[in-house]
Amino acid sequence: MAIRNPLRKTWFALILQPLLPPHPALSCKEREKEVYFIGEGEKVKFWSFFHLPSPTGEGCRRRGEGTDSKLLKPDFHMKSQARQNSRSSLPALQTEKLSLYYGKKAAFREIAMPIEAGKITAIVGPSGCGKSSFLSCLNRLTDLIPGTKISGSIRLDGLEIANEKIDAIALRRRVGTIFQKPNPFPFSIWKNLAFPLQEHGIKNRDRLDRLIETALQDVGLWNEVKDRLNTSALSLSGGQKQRLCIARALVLQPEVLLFDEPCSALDPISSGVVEDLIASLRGRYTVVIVTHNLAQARRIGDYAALFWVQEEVGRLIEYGTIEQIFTAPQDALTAAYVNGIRG
Amino acid sequence: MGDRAKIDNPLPSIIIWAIALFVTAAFCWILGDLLWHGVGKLSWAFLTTAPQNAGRDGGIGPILVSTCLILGVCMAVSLPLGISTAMLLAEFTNDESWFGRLVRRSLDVLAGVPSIVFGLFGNAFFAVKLGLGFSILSGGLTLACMVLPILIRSTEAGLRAVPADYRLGAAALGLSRTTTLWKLLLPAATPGLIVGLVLGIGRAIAETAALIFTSGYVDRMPESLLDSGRSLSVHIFDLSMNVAGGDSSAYASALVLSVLLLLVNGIATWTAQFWLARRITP
Repeated sequence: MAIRNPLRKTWFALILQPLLPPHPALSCKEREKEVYFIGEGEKVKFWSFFHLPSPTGEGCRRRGEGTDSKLLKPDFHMKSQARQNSRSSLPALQTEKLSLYYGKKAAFREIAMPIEAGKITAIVGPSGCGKSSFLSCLNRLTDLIPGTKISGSIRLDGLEIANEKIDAIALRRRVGTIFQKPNPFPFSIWKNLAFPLQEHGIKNRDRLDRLIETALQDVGLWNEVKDRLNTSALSLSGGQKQRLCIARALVLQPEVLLFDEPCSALDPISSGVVEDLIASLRGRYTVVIVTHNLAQARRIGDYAALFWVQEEVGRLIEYGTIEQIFTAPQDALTAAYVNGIRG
Repeated sequence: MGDRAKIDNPLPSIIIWAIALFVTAAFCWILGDLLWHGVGKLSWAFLTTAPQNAGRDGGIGPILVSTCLILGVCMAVSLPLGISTAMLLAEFTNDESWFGRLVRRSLDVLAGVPSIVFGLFGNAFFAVKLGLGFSILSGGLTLACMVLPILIRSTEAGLRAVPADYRLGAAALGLSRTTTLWKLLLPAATPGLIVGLVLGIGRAIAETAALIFTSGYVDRMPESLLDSGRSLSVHIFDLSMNVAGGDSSAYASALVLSVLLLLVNGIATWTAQFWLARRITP
């Protein structure tokens, strides 16, 4: 069993971390309850002491599964091929009674919502209704804000992730986020994609180049930037920056992608490009998108959820397929909102 | 719209220009005065030979060496301490936490403490209590105490000025906080670090009062860090206050000090940029 690393979350780790071998590509930490270590070799013990999986991924397997678990194999190519072969392996999310508090103030309360595997779920609603907060809960980015507290349950493929014991860093490898404002790092285009890969243990230059090219082609940026991979990412246009950020998330081969109003900081043409790109991710990733743009939600969504502020707290008003929400809403508020009467 | 210059009152712009000119003129006057009086005495021999006749004749060789050693000790101690404290303050403590507030408040007070007080503290603690005596080591350590508040606060400001987007973006990619800090935030905070470094070096190299009590004013070549050594600023003070007829040497030394300051600042800036910012592509 993994031993809790006594140094985690302390600033002593600051000094120790660079001395440790690099963080391996994939982590089995989040499967703490379901993972057991086979082979009590010293190597495994060493890694488990530092609360890290062994760099090769060996030594841990999910209970009830064969040797080939997509979670535990650090090889990106194998993993992506495995996924292309079986699309059904994408995870679904399910929240139950999920509430988020900033200090004593609730951002949203008791949200129970399914997120279907491989589909695009659009979350719409007015400002301040907790849409974005809900999104950040799904990969625990809320942990970064001091004083936040999640209550209730979020299950990723049946695994409870709204749990202090789950390693959020490993979780975020599986559940990526793209933000409203494109935020490429102040590195070159190449380094922007290589940096996270290198940090997750991929050092081989050829392999890096291959993965980066694939990711850039996935977002349609390859032909635009292939001759200037070493120039600063900050010199790209807004739409290109946002696509680079999407590529940066894709290059880590996540399973779920969360988009937080990805087009609202872009001009209409770039916005269209990014929107088409998101639509093209359908079936390959489980996608959740928060948007202010109802037309966009209708164009690319498979499912939609309407959030609304009631008594200063965000609530889920209605959830359903896109057709249901836009053509046959059950709630009067939804009807008013999608018809442009409210909101 | 018309011609704005004709409509506007010219007085504000005249005042602003006058102030700017005044500041520049003061700087040029000081530098010019130093050059005028000091450059005649300046030579390779002056930089390398030992002072004679209480500094009236001879050069400043040992004094330059002592100065560089003191500065070296000061930076070697204050840089790692300063950067890690700044990281702790900016990244690992809450703005509101009592600990962060206590440390920040203490640093602000420390930054305002007169250097003579640091000198007495250094004398009592490093020289007497720790038994380092009047030595380059105790001088350098005392200066490190003086420089730390400036270095910490400006590095902290630099770290805080890094857009929160980077932290969020890095966290969303599953990067640990440590990695983010070392490989992304610290390089991006280089400008703040450089400002702190330049200000700190400036304060350290110009320090007189604190050094008289700690590193002493023996003007021979130091043999080790535990030897007493006279810094340039102490030398200038001694020449102009205690030695009749030492003015020309004092001017030349002051000129050397100014050049040294510019040189060290240049090197510090370049090094910081080279080590940290080379990862960053602007």
